[in-house]
Amino acid sequence: MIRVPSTEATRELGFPSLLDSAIAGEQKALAEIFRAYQPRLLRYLRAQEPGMAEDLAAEVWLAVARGLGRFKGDEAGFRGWLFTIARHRLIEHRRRNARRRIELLPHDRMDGPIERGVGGDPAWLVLEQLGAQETVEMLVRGLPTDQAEAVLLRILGGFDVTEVARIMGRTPGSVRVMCHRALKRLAAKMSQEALAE
Amino acid sequence: MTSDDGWTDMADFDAELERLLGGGSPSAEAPAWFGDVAVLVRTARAPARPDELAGEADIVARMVEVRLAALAEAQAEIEAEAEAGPPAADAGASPAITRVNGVNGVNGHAHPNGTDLGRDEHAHNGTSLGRDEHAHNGTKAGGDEHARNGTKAGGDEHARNGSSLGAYAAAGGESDGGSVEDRLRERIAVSDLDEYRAKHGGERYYVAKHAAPLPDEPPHPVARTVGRVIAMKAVAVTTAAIIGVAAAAAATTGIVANVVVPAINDHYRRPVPTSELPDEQKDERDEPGTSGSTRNHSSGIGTQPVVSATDPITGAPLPSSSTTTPTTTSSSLPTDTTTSTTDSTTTTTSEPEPPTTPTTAPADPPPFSP
Repeated sequence: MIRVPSTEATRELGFPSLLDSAIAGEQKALAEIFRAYQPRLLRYLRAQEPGMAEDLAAEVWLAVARGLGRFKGDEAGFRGWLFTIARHRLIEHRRRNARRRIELLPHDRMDGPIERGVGGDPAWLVLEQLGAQETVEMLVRGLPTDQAEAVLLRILGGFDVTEVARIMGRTPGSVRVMCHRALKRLAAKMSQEALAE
Repeated sequence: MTSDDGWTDMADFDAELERLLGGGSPSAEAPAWFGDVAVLVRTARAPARPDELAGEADIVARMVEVRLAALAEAQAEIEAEAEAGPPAADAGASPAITRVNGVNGVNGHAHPNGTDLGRDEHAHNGTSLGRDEHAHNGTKAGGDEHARNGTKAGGDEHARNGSSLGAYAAAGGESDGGSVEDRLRERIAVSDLDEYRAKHGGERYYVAKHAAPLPDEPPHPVARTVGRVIAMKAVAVTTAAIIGVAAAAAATTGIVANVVVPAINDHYRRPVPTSELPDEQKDERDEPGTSGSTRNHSSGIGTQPVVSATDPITGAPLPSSSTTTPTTTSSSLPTDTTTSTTDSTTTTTSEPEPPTTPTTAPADPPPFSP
C-alpha cells in the first residue's frame, strides 16, 4: 500500500500524536502535516485547475483546520478526508465560475518537453526533463474529467478503488472501469507518440 | 473481445495497477507501456519541490489562528453551558485545576490547559483521571460522564459547578452547609474518607454527589394534599367552563339558523301590490288563465320571488309562509307559457303541460290581400 512520505517528526511521534498536537493548535504539528500532504494535494489541484490550485489548496487547509477538532480516524482516514475536501472545493469553484476546464497546462509550459512528445525512453525523459507536476499533467492530459480524477486520486492520493469510489461518490466497479479506460487511453497515446518519433 | 475477456483483462489490470501504485515494476507479461506508466507514476509521487511549499508559513499561521479560535469558541461554549447549568454544590467555586500544555494520556486528547490521564475523550482546563468522557474546568477521577467546573471522583453522573474537597479546602471556600469536609464527614464515615484518600495516594478527590447540599425540606403532607385538591378543582372548573362555552355556542348557532334567519327572510319577503307593478306585468295578470294566479316577480331584494298574497283558486289571502317555496305554488298553477318563459323559478321544478291555447302566441298575420 502506498504510504504518504512523512516527515521526520511524523515518523518519530506517529500520526495520532501529531494529530493531537495539531488539534491543540500547535504550529509545529500543523506545519508537519502541511509538509507531508501539501505536495500531492497541490499536484492534484493543479492537474485539474491550474490557475487556482494554490488558492484552492489554501482553502482546503483552512477547512481542515476548522474541522480538525471533529476528525476521528487514522492516517488513511485523514488523507481521504483531505482529498474529499479538496474535491468539494474544486466542485464549488467550478460551479462558481460556471465554466469548464479548458486547459491543463499554463501557457508558459506549452512549449516544454511534453508538447514534443514522450517517445523514446520515458524514464530518461522523466528523470531528465520532467518534474512531478508535469508528469501528473501528462498522465491525465486528454482524459475525461472523471477518468482523470480517478487516476489522480489513485496515484496522488494513494487510495484503493474502494476509497476512490467513496470520495467520488461512485461504485468501485465504475472506478475500476474509469481507471482501466484511462490507462488504456494513456497507453494508446504513448504508443502513437512513440510511433510518431 | 467478450465480456469475460474484458473482466479478465480488468482483473489483470487491477493487479498490475496495484503493483504500479505500490512503486513496483510491472510483471514480465505486462505490456511494454506499463513500464513507462510505472516511471511516470513514481515521478508523479516524487517528494516536494520548494515551490510546492512556498506558502507554508502563511497557510500554517492561518491554520494556527483557526485552531486557536475554534478552541476558544469551544471553551466559551463549555463555560456558557456550565453557567447555564443548575448549580449542584458550592456554586461559583470552580477549582479549575489548570495545567499548561497538558499531558496526553492513553487514547485521550489533552486540550490546552488540560490533562487527560484517562482513556477516552477530552479534558478541558482540568484533569480527567477517569475512563470516559469529559472533564471541563475541573477534575474527574474514576467515573463516568461529565464533570463540569467541578470535580468528580469515583462516582457516577454529573458534577456541575462543584468542587473537590482538596481544591475547595485549599481555596478556603465555605458552603451553605459548612465546609465541604464537614459535610462530607457528616455523610460518610471518616474511615471511608481516609481510606479513599489513602487509596488514591493523597489525591484530593471526593464523591461530589455526597458532598452536595441536601435539598430543601419538602412541604408538609397536608399542604401538599390541599395543593393537589385545589389543582384538581381548578382543572374541573376549567373543563366545565370550556364545555359550557361550547354548548352555548352550539345553541346560539341553532337559534340563529332556525329562528332569526327565517324571520329576516320573511321580513324582506313582502307582497307586491298590483298597483306597484309595471304596466306590462299588470297586463299579464289580466290575461286569461293568469288572473288571480300566483306570480313571482323580482322584488329587488336579491332574487327572492314575490308571491301574491291571495290564493289563486279561492282568492283567499295566503299566509306568507306558504309562499316561501315557489315551486310548490307553481305546481298548482295552470299552464301558462308566459309564466314558463318569464319565470324560470316556477318552471324548473315542475313539468308544465303543453299549452293548449297559446294565448300569448303571436297572432297569424292576416292573409295577403292585394
